[in-house]
Amino acid sequence: MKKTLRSTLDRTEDLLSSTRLTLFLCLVLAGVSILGTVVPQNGRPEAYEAMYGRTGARVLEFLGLTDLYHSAGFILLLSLLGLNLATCTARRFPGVWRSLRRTTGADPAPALAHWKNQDTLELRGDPERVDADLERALRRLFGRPTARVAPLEAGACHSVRRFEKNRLSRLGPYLAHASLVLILLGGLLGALFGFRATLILQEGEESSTVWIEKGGRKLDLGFGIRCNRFVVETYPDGSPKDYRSEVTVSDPRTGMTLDAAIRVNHPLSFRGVTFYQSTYGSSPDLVLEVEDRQSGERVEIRTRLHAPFLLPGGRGERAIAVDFRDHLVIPAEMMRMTSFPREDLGPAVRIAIVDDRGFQNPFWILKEFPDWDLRKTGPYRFRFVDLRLLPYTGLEVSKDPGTPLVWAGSVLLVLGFLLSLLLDHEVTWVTREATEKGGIRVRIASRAVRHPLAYEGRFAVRKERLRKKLSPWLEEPKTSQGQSGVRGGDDRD
Amino acid sequence: MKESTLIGLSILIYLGSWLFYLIHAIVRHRLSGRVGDLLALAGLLAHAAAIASRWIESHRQGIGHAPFSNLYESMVFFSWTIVLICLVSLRRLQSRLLGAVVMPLAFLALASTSLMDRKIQPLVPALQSNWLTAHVITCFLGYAAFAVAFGASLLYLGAPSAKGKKESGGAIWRLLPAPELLDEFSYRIIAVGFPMLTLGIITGAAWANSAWGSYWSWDPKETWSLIVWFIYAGYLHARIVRGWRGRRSAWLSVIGFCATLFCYLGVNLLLSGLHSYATG
Repeated sequence: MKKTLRSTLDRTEDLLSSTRLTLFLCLVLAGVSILGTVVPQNGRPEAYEAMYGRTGARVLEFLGLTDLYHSAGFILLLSLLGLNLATCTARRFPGVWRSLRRTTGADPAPALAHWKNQDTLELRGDPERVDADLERALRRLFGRPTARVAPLEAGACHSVRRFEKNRLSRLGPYLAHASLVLILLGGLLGALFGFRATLILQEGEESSTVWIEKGGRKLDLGFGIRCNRFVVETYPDGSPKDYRSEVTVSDPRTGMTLDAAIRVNHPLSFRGVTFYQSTYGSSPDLVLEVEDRQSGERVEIRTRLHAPFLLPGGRGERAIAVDFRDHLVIPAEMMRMTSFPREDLGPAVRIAIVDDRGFQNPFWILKEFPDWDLRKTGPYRFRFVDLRLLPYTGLEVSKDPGTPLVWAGSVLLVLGFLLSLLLDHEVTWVTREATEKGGIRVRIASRAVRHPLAYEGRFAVRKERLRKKLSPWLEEPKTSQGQSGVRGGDDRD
Repeated sequence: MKESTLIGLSILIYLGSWLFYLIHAIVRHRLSGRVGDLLALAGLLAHAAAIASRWIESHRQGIGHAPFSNLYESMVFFSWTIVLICLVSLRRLQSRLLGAVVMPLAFLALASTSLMDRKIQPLVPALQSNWLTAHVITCFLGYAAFAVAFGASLLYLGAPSAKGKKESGGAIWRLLPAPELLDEFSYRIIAVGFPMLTLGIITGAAWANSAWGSYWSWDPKETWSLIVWFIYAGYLHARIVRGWRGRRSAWLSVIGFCATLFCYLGVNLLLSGLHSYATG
């Protein structure tokens, strides 16, 4: 029983760390992501019903396609990829690390027997000077010596050594994968402990609370932000040049205030919260007159959109302006059913009574038709007396503790790519032995770990350069063993 | 010279270069291959002069900015990067057949700009960022690398040796290097394009973070760049650790470039999102 559990765990770990899973996840994530670019994301339910019908909308909702990238399935795929990267790295890295640090015990025999890129040089001359030149040339062309092996056959070989170039490139893939895990973790951190909110501020208005976009929650920032002025600048051709909110941030705890301008591409950060210029417009400052029919009490109220106000009559009831139109237009087909003289009814505001169940029966009141009030039988009578349009700025407010991880991961990722894709680890074995005739025979076998084919050309060039450098000592400069790597196209016909 | 004249000239030169590469491929005339090279290089220079002249002109108009701000400007740059990477590759690969399949891409891309609005426009606030230049250059170097890899993969798939026949194809194919070299070449150029695309995505994320307050918001353009990224990540893993070679990986490279094209053009033309300003 224990054994089967063990083997199941092992097999799970094998699967999780397998590159087959990596390949599968990459292609599946690519495929699934397409769906979210075809189906509009995070739309309103009515919009989906209009586009796909009631059943279609339900199916999309059920499959999580209306918010695909935050759906459980997609997050599962991303987490699997993260796990795959992490286990894969953890599994393979120690072995590579050990093999990179090893300086003895490696076996040159397979290299000399099978590697494609080989050369043999017969040298003759004062051994000390030959060796000095040889050493300099080898270091120059094949990197630094990293291992020495005891003579293979006693007496025959004086030395067997390994030279390496770009060995750090072996760490590249691990660095790249670890940094991807870092980026995913950063995303997770942001999703768990960050927020995104909007803040609408009229000129002159100050606020310390924002509306969280997900869930419609209110959040207290702990400091106030006031919009002093909102400015739009345009180019001579009329296209927008600059959107700028001039704000003052004030922290009641420290008494500190800060004047700043928030522009597109130039956000303001304050105590871990960042404000971005997102939208702008103008919103109405409304003057309403409300009469309590029962008592005849009449009050004038100054209010804004979405700000509940107390109604007259002493019953503690509240109302709220939920919508505003500069021009409320009656659809042409509805005109027959009304007694209005024209389609454009002018400024209109939509009022709702607030009770503990929410907003009740919202209705329109019109500035240019003050006597038109649909709720003639209700307890209150509303009149829309006046309005003033005030410019407002819309700020995106966000806090994302994951961003430092994401940027760190990005930098390391690029570094990992530079190491792994643009450099290649090259290993060269060199044997040096004395021949019976009193000369020195040097054999070279060389290989690039990742791109052996591309290395063939480079090796051919290096081989010639090595011969050139050692030409004073070379016994037979005409032949060179091994294969030449360049096989051109143009000159083959 | 004016920008429009230089662009027109470049279009003609690229067409000429392509024709000479074709002649070289069909009649195996070595000199015409050289002429193709020279024309491509001349076109590249005229093309670069056009981009520089547009840049200078925008400063003369007082709205100076690097010419990477709309569809016209990006397409002009895309075409330029394709020729650049093609010429570098030709030195490496030593088969001008690659020119015969890649130059038409550059030619078509540049020729298509004659249908677009080429008025120099001032930068809207969202585009006024230091990230703009870095983002566009890295993205398009990546795209162009994928375009050249696509050309090489097409050659590989078209060559008779890849279909398992032995030397039965026409004379054209004898101009090709050994299939494994062509296969390796596609891989090498993708291995250059992939980090470029990654840099493009990262600079884009950094820009989005300062402009929109979020480094990633699953906007269709972002998502498609990630799709392309996943495909080429899959390609690299398939080759490096799973030993895919030849036809399978060539097909993946073809699919990758189709996704790249959709990411660049399809998203702007067919889907809506935050990058929609780049449709002009």
